[in-house]
Amino acid sequence: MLPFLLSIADESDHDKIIYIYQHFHNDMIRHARRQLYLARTSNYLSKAEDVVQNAFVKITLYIKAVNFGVSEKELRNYVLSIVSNEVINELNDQEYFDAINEHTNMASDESFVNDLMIQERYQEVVAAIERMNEKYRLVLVYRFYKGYSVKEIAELFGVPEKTVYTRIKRAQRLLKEMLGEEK
Amino acid sequence: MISSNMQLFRKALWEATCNVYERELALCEQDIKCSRRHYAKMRKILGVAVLPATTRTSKIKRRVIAALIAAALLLTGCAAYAYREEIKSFIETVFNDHIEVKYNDSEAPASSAIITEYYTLGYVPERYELVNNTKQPIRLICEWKSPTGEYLIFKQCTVESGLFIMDDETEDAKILMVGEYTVYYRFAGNNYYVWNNGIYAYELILSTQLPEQEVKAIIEGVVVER
Repeated sequence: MLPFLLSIADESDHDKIIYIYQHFHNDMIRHARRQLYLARTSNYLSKAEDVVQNAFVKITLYIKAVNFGVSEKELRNYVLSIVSNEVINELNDQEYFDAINEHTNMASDESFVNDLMIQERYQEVVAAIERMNEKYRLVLVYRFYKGYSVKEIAELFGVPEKTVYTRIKRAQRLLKEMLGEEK
Repeated sequence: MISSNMQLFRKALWEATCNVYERELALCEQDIKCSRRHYAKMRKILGVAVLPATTRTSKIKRRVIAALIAAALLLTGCAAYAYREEIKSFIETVFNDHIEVKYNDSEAPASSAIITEYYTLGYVPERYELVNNTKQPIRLICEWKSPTGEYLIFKQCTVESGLFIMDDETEDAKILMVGEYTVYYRFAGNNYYVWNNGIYAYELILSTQLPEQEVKAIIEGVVVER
């Protein structure tokens, strides 16, 4: 599990941050613009720039947790996911209502995945994940693909742990519902 | 040990994420041009010049206006001098189409841009109402509006990342003494006031000129947000 130390970037990390800028800055801007445009945000060009600036600050804070031993595409996806989260924060699109208070009944990761019957319908699962709202897809990626704890996701996304629980729970429910429709 | 179902689910998440991002990026315009303001901010965050274009304009005047501050201090009797030693001098760079005011001429590490304590205005003229309060890791923006559409904007960032951009050059800057603060003032479409307390840099933008006493009350009334 990746340690979430709010470490300050040192000299060697600085090269990594510059690498991310040089390779992904334009994609980050494109991604932020598109997300904000689709959300019908006024002044989305300027807000996209703010979002990318905030994303870079976050990447810098967590640079020690960024795995540079992965493919270029995976690194790009990580960077874009940080941008996505900043867009969500910019839109203030958080769960103020209908928060799920009971977390104890959340299905275990294994049982949730087993219920998907993914062996039989892999492509349907991929398609359903693609159609999910970015907010919910992100928590699934960080929870199941990257193996982050709820606490770590909350720290990275800058939201309360309760919000992360809520998003995971909803994401699981949504995915099951989407697959149920296709069954 | 990770089960085969879990491995497949992880693969599905990866594949779906790649598909979504690639499809999305393919739909976006390929030629990305950002504002000069953005590149200037990125330069501050990254600690290196990221685009030479930030100094591309043909004519740049650059001056540290510490001399003006010194004159102002002399005129005001150098009160609270020890405190003012911490306050940074303004560095003003005049481009063809905008003016940048900052405090730190060296490139600071990104960590120094993080705000740990947010401030707000303790005094706002009665007719103004708060319409926006945006807190981001590297800046705070609060906006008030009057019923007649006049606005008042308060911004905060760290001194290390303090960079204020004014759209046009219309009048020379003035240095004002407001209580313990040395305030940079410029009229450039709006009325801009820039000052710092040694840790944070503040900017007040007024769409209309307020009486001097009211401006002073606003600046002196900046307090830590509770």
